[in-house]
Amino acid sequence: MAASVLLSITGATRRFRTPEGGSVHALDAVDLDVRGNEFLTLLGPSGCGKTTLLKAIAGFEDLDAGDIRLDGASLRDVPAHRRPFNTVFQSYALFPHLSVADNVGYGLDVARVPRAERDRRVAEALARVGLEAMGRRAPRQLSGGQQQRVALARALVNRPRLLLLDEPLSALDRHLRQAMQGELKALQHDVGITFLVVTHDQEEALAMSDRIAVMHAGRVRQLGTPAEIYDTPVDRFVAGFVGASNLVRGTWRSTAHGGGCVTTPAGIDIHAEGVASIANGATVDALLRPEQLSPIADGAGAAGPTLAATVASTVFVGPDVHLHAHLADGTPLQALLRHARGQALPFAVGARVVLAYRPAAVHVIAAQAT
Amino acid sequence: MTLRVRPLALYGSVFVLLLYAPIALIVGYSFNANVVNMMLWEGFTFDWYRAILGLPTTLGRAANHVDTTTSLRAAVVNSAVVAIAATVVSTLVGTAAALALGRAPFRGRRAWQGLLVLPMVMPDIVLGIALLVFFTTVGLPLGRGSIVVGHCVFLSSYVWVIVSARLAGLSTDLEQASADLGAAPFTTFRRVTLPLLAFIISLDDLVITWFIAGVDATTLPMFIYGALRRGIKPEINAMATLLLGFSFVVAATGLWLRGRRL
Ligand SMILES: Nc1ncnc2c1ncn2[C@@H]1O[C@H](COP(=O)(O)OP(=O)(O)O)[C@@H](O)[C@H]1O
Ligand SMILES: [Mg+2]
Repeated sequence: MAASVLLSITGATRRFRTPEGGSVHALDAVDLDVRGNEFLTLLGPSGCGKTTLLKAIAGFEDLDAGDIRLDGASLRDVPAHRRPFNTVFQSYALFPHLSVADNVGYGLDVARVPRAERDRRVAEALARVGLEAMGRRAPRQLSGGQQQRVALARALVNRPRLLLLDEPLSALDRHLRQAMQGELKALQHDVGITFLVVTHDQEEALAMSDRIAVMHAGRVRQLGTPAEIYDTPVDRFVAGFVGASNLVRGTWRSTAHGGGCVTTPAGIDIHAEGVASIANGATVDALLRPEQLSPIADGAGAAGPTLAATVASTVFVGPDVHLHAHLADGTPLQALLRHARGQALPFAVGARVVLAYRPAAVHVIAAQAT
Repeated sequence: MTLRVRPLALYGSVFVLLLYAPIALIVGYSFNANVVNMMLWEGFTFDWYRAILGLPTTLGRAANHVDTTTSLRAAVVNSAVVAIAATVVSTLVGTAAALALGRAPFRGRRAWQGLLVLPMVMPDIVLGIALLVFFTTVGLPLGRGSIVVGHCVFLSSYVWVIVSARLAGLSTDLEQASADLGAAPFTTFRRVTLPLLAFIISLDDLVITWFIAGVDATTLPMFIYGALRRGIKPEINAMATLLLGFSFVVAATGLWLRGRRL
């Protein structure tokens, strides 16, 4: 499926002066293509430039260099109010002096949509977010979750080419947030509008997105589907930021057909398969996700390669037990165990444990100079 | 049993006493029937109030009082007119200045802000002389009009300070949201910025401005200073008591409005 490119960002750069007299690169030559009708998430830690990029797209922030094109036409000289995008602000930014219905109808009023059509579309948008009975209330008479739905309805009612959402779920409590993740995704599918969502929450990004752009220090480090980002991160930063990870540094020694092994300075071997284009003898990081490690108490019955470790602690979190262990050279590793009701955990602190893994589940990352 | 006087309680009591004793005295004197010496109690009367309102009184006219009732009433009316006009004009001027300096990007903002602070910190006498020289130079006759202009000079600064503070607290998110929804800059100003300012400024800021406008150098205080030289006729006490009651009502309304909105 070759989806068409809706928005194309090339070399987007934005510098800010710091009070100390230096400057920060909020955006550092960002290249990014947003496809029509996709759910794309900008994921990254606080301060990595997500909001700046969103504001540049919306037209509230100028770029020092680079360009943003919609259907191939540059937006450089198009002011914010002429761009066919709408934003769900992090603060919601509902107009306190207008009722919920008038908030939702604002964009239609400004566009001089006839009264009857305006009222019909407002009612429709409110119904879509489950607030049909709230039109006459003032925004402050609604809960945080409801205000957020109003902000969503206010943006969607204009049928924008692109909907920009800045940390849309960050102000909600955990339960509501998880429910809304599913709703946002379903909504995007229903209305058929491209969503560009900013978040610093990697679980949220994995749960909602068609594609994720992982940002760090003003750059897009990796762009891919959630599974690509999770299974084959391009660098230590992405590996560490998305999901829990065990990263073991060592030297790469390839055998045949992309197979080989990562040897730590202490001589521990981690076998891998399907590794492409890494030079023999290069310094690399082996990524082992905790759920890919199977702890075995006595070491018997392991079909593939194993790592010998010592149990440091076990943490019960409900469905799973987190097993923290370390290798002979002290490298910490985390493994996941399914919680089995009524069964005692066979791993005492200080006991020996064998961690079995499949070489195909090991991802090898070439270590960068940084 | 020991009697312990807490220093703070003592200080507080003395403070309140000094603050309100003169006012309590004036309220008391305004009901005193003694025409000659208001400090000696001679009996209770409403006559001073009746005199102000132009109702017949039972008091004989005391020889040592000039008849000042008419000019007292005129002074009160003058004060009210000046205060209302100055409040309205300076609210408009000060708000416009705050909007320009707070939202429109232009050069030399700092310099303009400094110029707006000056009338508030300048000694009154300097401002007064400067205005007098200015009015006579440009040929503006001295009267109600010039008093209103003079008041607006420093009142606009106060309004500017108040509105600027409010505007700073008004997140630009809302104006951005309006632009985001397709509103051109002037539409945003008309449909969002202006209504929001009205929403957050409203009456209690007007009350503050009114008080600043009413306290200094208006025509009523001038009259009272004059009356002090001529000898005080006790109806001044009655007028002061009425004004006190009025101020109290205005302040209470302001506080009530503020409390209701938060
Ligand atoms: N208006 C501004 N002035 C100065 N620095 C800014 C401004 N906006 C953002 N920055 C800086 O740019 C960087 C990126 O900010 P932002 O895009 O808000 O990050 P994020 O949304 O990913 O948390 C941060 O270091 C931030 O301090
Ligand atoms: Mg942000």
